[in-house]
Amino acid sequence: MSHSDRKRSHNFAGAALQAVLVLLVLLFVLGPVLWLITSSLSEPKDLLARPPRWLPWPPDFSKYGELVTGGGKGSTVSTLTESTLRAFRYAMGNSLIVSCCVTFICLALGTLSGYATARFKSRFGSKLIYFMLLVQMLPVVVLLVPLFLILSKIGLLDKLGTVIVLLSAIHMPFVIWILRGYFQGIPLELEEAALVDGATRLQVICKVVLPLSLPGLFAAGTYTFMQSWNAFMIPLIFTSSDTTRTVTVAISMFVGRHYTDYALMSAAGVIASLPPMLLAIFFQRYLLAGLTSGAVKG
Amino acid sequence: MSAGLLMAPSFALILGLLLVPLGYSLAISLFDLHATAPWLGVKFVWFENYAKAFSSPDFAAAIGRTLYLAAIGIGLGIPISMAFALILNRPFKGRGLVRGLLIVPWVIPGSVQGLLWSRIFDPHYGALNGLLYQLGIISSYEPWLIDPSRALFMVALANLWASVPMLTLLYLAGLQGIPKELYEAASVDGSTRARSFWRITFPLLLPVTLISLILKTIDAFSLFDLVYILTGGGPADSTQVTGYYLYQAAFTSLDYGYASALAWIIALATGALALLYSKITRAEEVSQ
Repeated sequence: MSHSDRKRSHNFAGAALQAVLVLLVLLFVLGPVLWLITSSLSEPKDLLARPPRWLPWPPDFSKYGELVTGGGKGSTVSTLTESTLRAFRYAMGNSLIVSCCVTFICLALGTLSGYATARFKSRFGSKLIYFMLLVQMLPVVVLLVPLFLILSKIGLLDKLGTVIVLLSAIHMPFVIWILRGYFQGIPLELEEAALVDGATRLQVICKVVLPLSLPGLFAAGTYTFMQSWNAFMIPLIFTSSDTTRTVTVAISMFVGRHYTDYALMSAAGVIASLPPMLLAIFFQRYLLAGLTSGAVKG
Repeated sequence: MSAGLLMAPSFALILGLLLVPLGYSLAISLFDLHATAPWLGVKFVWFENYAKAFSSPDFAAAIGRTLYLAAIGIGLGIPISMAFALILNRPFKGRGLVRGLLIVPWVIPGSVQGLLWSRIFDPHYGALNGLLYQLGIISSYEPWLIDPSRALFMVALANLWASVPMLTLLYLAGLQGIPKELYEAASVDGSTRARSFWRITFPLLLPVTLISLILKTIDAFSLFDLVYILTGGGPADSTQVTGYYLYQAAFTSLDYGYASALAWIIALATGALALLYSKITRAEEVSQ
């Protein structure tokens, strides 16, 4: 064996080892999710087998159909399932409304504050932001009792608007923090030129600053949408009816009911994960850049 | 337009919904509200709720379980994440894609994670039982979450799955900050790979490790979704961590004063950790 041959076979062994290791990482990260997906495509009897049939073939997409359209005419879905399915669809809609509103509020108000703290140098402003970030790192459970007592006294429990405003306040500090970082990177000269031309501050923000900080807006927006979609404790405590429940709470009720249609439960889990997943994949580049610039909150 | 005017809307929201409630909670923690017996009225009890918390064996046990979760998250999570980062830091085809897939567990809602792990740990039809049975590791199906002696460990494993990928991303960022010249110089000096790891990689990753330590501890005190869905604190309170204990004190026992005292104890503990975290990350920013 020549020297170069030995080197090549050594490289090959190294590449094979590397491939095995990468596969192990992927198995750890994706294994549980793959099981959720294959479960959602299984027929009930495959999941009740011991051991379960791992790869359902042919895949059965009927559970997704039931979740999206409610079984439709002539379906075999029982009335119990029928009401569960309706509640699930309603909850998906609620989550969509809540997440979109929270994202809009956080971006709109966060832009103003982020800009103000980036441009008007004040020691107080910076201190305040660090303090807010500290407050945001506290477990949400700490805020529940006072908020519950206050909101129940003024009759604002079980309203979608309450959930929206609460989640906006909770995620605002981090949004201000990310946006501030991006605004600080924009050259002052550009804004001064616009100001000299007679633009107002608000026009400067909308026409000069925002177009230049799109990556920051994407990062903050994706983060906020995901966090409000995934929020569990706030909607759990502050909503109590089918018409206000978000999808995360609806999912927790699936599990609690000792429901045995595992394929349907799994399909619901997959659907409930889709919006944040698609958003994260689409804006991944911005999301990771934004997250490494600040606190990582799980 | 002044800075104050621009900041007013968002700071009003934060003040009204985060800071005022925190203050209100401090006040409540000094009272017994008698929510279950309203005819007794509201009574000022000084620091009785705090005394009750510190002398409660249940709260002490909940803190113990939370620290156990943090210990698993750190003791298993940090070595695994570091190993994953080292694997993914080497060049290979599709590296970008694999790194991208790391965020999948983090993006999945906590309640779906609960659903997922309740399916995996299911005593009759779960994937873990099926897999171990098929591999011949267990001879009969095990009731993973129903057994008080290991339910907490199972919850810790589920929690580990969601947190390892994020730590791996932090370590990957840390690895990218280490200059390649250091390794070249070491290999010229005849240093082995293992030696290079302990002499260069490990010490230079210490800041990331320190940050991970703090974040995982704070996370353990915030854990709620998984416990609520997977075990509801049971069996026999064996998975009742501080987040769940506080939730039960407030919304099952309706003991608002006691729950507020608990909240402040947890807030001060995690606040101190958060302060430490922000000091470290700011020091990092300055040194870069």
